[in-house]
Amino acid sequence: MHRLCLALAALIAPGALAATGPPSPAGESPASSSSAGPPAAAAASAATTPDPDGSAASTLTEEVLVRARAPRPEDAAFATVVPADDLARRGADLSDLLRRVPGARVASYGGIGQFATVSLRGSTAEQVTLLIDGVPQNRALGGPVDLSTIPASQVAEVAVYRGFAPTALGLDGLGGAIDVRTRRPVDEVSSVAVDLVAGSLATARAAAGWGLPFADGSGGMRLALEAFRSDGDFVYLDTAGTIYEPSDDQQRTRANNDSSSFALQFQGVLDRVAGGALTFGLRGRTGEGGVPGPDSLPSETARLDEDAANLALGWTRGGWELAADGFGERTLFDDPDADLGVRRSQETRIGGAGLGAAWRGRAGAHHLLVRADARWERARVTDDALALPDRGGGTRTALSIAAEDALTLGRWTVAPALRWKGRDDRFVAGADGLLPPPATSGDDAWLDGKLAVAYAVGAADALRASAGRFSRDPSLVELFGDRGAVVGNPRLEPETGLKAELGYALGERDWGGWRLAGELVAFGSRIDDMILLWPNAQGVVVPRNIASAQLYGLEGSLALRVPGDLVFEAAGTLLRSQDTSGGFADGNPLPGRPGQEGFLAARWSPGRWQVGWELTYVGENSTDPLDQPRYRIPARTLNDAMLSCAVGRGFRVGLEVRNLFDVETRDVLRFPLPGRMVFASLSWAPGEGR
Amino acid sequence: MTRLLLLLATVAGGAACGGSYVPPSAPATGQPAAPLGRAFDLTVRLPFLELPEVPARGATLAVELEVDGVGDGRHGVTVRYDKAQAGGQQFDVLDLSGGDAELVENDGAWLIARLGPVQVAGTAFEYRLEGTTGPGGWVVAGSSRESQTGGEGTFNGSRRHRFAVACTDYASGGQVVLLEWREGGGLTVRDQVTEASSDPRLRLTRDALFVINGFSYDNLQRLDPAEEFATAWQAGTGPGSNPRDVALIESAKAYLSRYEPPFDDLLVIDPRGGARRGSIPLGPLAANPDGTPRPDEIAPVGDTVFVALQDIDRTFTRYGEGKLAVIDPRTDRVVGSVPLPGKNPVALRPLTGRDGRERIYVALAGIYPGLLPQELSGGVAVVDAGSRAFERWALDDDDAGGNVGGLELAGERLGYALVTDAAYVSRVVAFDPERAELRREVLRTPEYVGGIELDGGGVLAVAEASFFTPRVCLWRIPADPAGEETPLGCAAMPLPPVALEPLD
Repeated sequence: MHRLCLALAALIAPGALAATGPPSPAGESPASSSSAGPPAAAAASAATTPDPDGSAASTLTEEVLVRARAPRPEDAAFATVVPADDLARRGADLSDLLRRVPGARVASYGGIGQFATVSLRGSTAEQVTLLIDGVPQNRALGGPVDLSTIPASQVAEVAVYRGFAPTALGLDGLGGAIDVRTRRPVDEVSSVAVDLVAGSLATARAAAGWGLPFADGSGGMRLALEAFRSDGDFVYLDTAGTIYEPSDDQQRTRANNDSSSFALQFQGVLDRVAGGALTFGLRGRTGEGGVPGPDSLPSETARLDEDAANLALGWTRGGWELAADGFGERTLFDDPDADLGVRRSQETRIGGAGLGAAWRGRAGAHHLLVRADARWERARVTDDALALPDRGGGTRTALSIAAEDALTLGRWTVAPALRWKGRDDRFVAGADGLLPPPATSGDDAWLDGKLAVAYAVGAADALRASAGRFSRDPSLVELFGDRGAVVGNPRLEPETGLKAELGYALGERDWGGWRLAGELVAFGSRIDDMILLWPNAQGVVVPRNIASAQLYGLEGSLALRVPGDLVFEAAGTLLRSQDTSGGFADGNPLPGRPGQEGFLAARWSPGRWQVGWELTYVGENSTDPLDQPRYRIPARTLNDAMLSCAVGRGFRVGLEVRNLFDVETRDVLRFPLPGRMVFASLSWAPGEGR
Repeated sequence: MTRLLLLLATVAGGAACGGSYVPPSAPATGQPAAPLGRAFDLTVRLPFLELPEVPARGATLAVELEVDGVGDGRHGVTVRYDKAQAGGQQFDVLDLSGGDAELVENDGAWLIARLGPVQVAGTAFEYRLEGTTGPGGWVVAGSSRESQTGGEGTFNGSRRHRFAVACTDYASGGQVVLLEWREGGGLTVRDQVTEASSDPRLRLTRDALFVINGFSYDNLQRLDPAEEFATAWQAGTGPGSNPRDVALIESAKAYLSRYEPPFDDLLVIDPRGGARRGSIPLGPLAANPDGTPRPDEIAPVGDTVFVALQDIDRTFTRYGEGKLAVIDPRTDRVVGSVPLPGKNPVALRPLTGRDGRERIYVALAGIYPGLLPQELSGGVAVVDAGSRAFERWALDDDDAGGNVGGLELAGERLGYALVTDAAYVSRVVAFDPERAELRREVLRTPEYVGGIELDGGGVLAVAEASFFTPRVCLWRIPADPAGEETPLGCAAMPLPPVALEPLD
């Protein structure tokens, strides 16, 4: 078994598959393609290839390399674009999609539909900027973005900028950036699509989309709905918190782990508005679910109720892009019996708006991009359970200006970028001034920047390097506290990071019908002034800039298409993290950063059938600052198997088994994850002829 | 294609790598815990001993004694030797007896009739020690007599100051560390004595040492001093019960306070294995709207047990006035309560006064700033245990300058309080409980202070839960309350220390 484990470790190591076949030029890219640098840049495309039975090709081959176009400034950075075409047909969500991305680490607190976060290259989840169609979702109030709130069926693809966020997206993201791109009206081939998924843990999802491209080619509209529910009542081992007493361990059914949601999205594109193209999108979601608590302290009654609405407008003409968005969110956390320690009925209302403008232009060999953004957010918190319900609120006004110049000199592309950002924060003390934060206002300005260099090797390959310094602003809670367990610290500095990456992108090659593409990237970063919540008195923590860390590693991905409709995909990450804070954990690896992660997938599409296998490997994972072996989560390998068949008239039926070998595991120490799950799906897309 | 199929087969085979997650576990000793003993460091002078390798007569032995049990009577002793000194040279000491002896204590008299035989530089002999102990039994001195010549010498020594320290990583776990200070020998730390949760407290009650693992861990661990303080057993106290304190009532009965609703009680347990024997409900004594008494520290005084009730609702924003529940341990029933003149009692320290009356000094923390504005409604209150009534203030928190979160007493004229101000600066202050006056500041730090403890030998320990330099610092307190504390040094901890307990 040890040999097998070593073999597996070797397999998932980045580049391990590089020797399986010599590269040769090709024209079709693999599924989770990396954006190749100049001159071959990857981009998602609507192109599909018909199957013999007339159905769409495997989604693994739906991306097409777009060649012979001008290089874009963001091409100099490494990114992974993962199409999500079959996500709606699977018992999976955005978390599962991101597990396929090298460098991405998903932490799930309870399985499908439950709170989950993502980090990149060992960052914290808060350091990752997450956008939906280019609109930032990170909130000034604080905290990471919950991946489970993004409806799976509405995702068209995910672009993961593992090292550096592109200037086109605002050049923000100390820990990289992820842009979730939803389905657009002009992408829709079929006018109607319905996907039904049902399976283990009483999980069910129904999604419907109606796309209407205008007949005159002037744009289109799309309406999408998704309803989701899951009981989440899987079985796990509860140790009762007594590590010295195994006799009280028992198998327990996860209680209060249910979730349900309904999401709506309406989008439109009008290509001829004031000489440009106007896009608009309205998204709404309401969700409700249990907050189950840690393993040995299951909460029976704590619930979370969330409502959110977003409106986005965009206008593009020539090199100009204008964007505006607004959002409103309401979150109610209710713990009437104080199952999680304190009775709460806390309502948080957040609203905000953003304006952005970008200009792209060319002057000789210079490809210029300038982008300016202004955002305003407001938060207000009340808790009706408390003696003083008004917990205060605050606003943040932020302005940023980013500029990038991609200079093309023969095979070389040099792209320096700078971003200036400033913010002004105002806080309103709650309870008629009885609960003042340490300060009621503050402002700061900061300069971030990067330099990216790419060298085109031959017709398809590129050598790329980037280095830069980025930052994360303290959140409003970190600055001003929450008038509860967190005391604000208005003296906080932004978290900062020096980052660099160097890698080789292998453009797709065709070698006797075997098509191969991939990349191998070395990366490193030093993060300083990390904000840590540190206890200061009875039941109180204070955010402080006291932590720092070094992270470095290798990541790679490879895709191989074999004649006979067989596609292989591999991605892997080797990560070394080290606490350099000078504190008690100095020198130890950071918790929650496995040293090795890998993903392997194989898909075979004979005729009307599609057969798939996915393997996710997560190496041993430290969970405590001292990296004690007892608290490590051991390495695990999870296997998922899929089978689907086009049955005619646009129908496709599918069967999926997730966690095939019923491995009991968890991403976060005291939050167990489900074992084996089985899902069945029925999809109907008459326009695709399935 | 063949290579790819082989590859796939290998990958599929690798699917079994790693396997399922198994929660952390650790072995307990599986034996009943022994009572806590005492450690002494002795210097034994044998001036007439003749060693063939040494021209001059006489030798000095450095002896470590582990004494089972406390108080008058016969106690087993485990003996260890450091090097012997003779004629300016050092010699190994070989204990031929196996290292066991017997100590007889009687009203301050101290006798070990036979030690050894031991062999030093080729010479074997036995010896005896007879002396008397000083105040509190922390020093001992007397005569020695060896069997080789029958010559008489002297010996003196002191009891080692030992503290159990509970440290936490604030995330996944913690550990118990043993901190020792010996006269002339400085500080030593023994890490990882046993595992604990990330929310640990410690309690030595009579001669039993417990780790109380709080909210979301909800269990009690008993440590065995005879097994290097390894965990003898661990028992759950109920999911979400948040145990806070334990008190040994008799050899087969202990009380454990369960802070969280719906438990709200004193759990009656068997301290030999944690088996539950009953419950003493405390909810009826609560005055807050939720009826949650929030029992915290327990203090047995004479034939009565007092329990601090914080009387805070489930949101921690509605406080009743603090009170002491009065328990009759013979019937396991509440027999009364003592209203306190402030909120949030967090520490109880019984003290017998010069007038012979038993009093309980109660640290009333008031309300820390956070969910509510800061409220300094407390300090240190004195309760007469006999009349079960508030007597007077020993320290006003307005005078102290912040919330009083910890309390230790050296006597009626000297106490120590842990005070946190509105800016979360912590101070350890010495005060005069009799006159309710601040005496001086011992320590001021912006770091979180996990606790203060004073042992019976007059050593004050302060746990600083600093991120960069987690440590425990010791002071020798003055014999004269008006004097100054003498720093004894600080010991680095592997993790931030959040609880202390003197092992005496």
